[in-house]
Amino acid sequence: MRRLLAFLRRDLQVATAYRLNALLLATGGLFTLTLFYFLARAVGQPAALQGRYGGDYYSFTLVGLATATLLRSLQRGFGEAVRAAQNDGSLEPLLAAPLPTVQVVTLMAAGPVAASLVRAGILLFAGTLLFGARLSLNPLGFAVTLILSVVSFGALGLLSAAFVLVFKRGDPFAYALDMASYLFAGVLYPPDVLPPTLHALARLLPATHALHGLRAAALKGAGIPELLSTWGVLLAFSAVLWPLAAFALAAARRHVERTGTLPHS
Amino acid sequence: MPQVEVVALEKTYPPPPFAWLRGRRARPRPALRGLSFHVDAGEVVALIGPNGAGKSTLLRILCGLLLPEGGHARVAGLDVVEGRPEVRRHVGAALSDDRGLSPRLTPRQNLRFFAALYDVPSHEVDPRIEELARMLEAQPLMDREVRTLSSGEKARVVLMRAMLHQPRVLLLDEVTRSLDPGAARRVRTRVLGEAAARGTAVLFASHDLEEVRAVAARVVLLDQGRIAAQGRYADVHPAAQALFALAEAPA
Repeated sequence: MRRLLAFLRRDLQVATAYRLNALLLATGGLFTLTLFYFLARAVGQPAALQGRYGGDYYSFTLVGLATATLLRSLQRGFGEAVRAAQNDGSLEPLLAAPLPTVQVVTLMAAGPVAASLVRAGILLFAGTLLFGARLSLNPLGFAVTLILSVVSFGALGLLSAAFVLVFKRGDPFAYALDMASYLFAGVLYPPDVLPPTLHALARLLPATHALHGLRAAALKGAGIPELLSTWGVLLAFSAVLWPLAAFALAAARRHVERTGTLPHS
Repeated sequence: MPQVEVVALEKTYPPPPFAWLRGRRARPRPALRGLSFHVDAGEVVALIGPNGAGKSTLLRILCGLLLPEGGHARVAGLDVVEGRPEVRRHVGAALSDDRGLSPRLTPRQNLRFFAALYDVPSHEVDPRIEELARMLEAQPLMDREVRTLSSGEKARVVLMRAMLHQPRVLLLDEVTRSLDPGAARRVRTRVLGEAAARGTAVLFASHDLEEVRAVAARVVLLDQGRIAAQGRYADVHPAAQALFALAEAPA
């Protein structure tokens, strides 16, 4: 816990040194909320949403965008944190600390993930307060789905970090997965509108289940009975992805220590 | 008792993948060839040798940042491969071209961060930072952003980071290179004074033979990954001078 706080404090101290960035992020968030507010007014009450999430497109999109903000940060934040440390030379001293590699990389991503969690929360809060989104939140259902989503996407993030550690470049798979999530997982429209083949493909993406679970808990007040199957799927993703991520990261560290490319950027 | 024990250590860098596509020779590059030596507790040993002799490779293996291909190395009684990550707790390292400080933070903030990583007890962190700042004449730097420091000032902070958790082994790679001669002498004296008082084993790489003569109890001379000579400075000096003269001669 002390180490987690140390990383969070360090990242916060660095973030507060760039005040203009916070202003730009806030402006961007407000711009997004306004854009989708008017888009929702143009779309009206889409038939595809009737009976599923309450039929209000703005609320549907708001939860989708907030969730996508968080999932994107989890999916790409680990790799980006490793890449930034490669570039500024801090990776070697961090990996020289007496901690397992998985722990160091996870701690490195803790700040960016926490920041995106705050951003997602502010999006939901501002969307509700300023633009009248209608949430019917089940706090327990939402919290458990959120934790399970973070856990399974954290593994994807570690896989991406392993790639970056070896290839010293942004991970194209994380980027592709991010794009696939936006296209197929239902950030801006429900996956039901997709043709059957693509709909089946969407079910293989963890983002589809995270989005469904978080929307159900936030918009319909879904509780344990309605969310159990979603939780099961997210747990299954974690059970497969975490050992894979731990193996990939260990193999990546072995590779850079064998080739002597750890200090390279 | 040896705090660093190196036995028949081998390291070969593999060729970069697809090197032939870039017109390079795809041959493995041997960096260390059967090194054996030790450093006792409280002892100061210098590693010298021309560029590419294997000094930095050896120090990185001892830090747990590189894997050897053969032989073994132990630090504080732990194997550097099998004993990871625990072995890193006993090592303090200031490696060459260390850029590992957050430029937007002050040295004090950077050191507090690393103190948490190395589990320095919370109540000891600030007094230890003050002690090191006094020792390395870095008190006026402690609350300035790292990005505003000169390379010599950053070198002091990197040295403080290496010593923060009171390691049993201190590995220094040309750490006083960017200090002016007077400051380098004072920093060296104080760092090695504290190491001697605490029984810390020090292994430092240097090109400065004057520095080596002044502080090292023993010297290990490396040439192309092999130990060309080792022993007291006076014994190694002729071989070192010949080697450096050879390295400086025009091709």
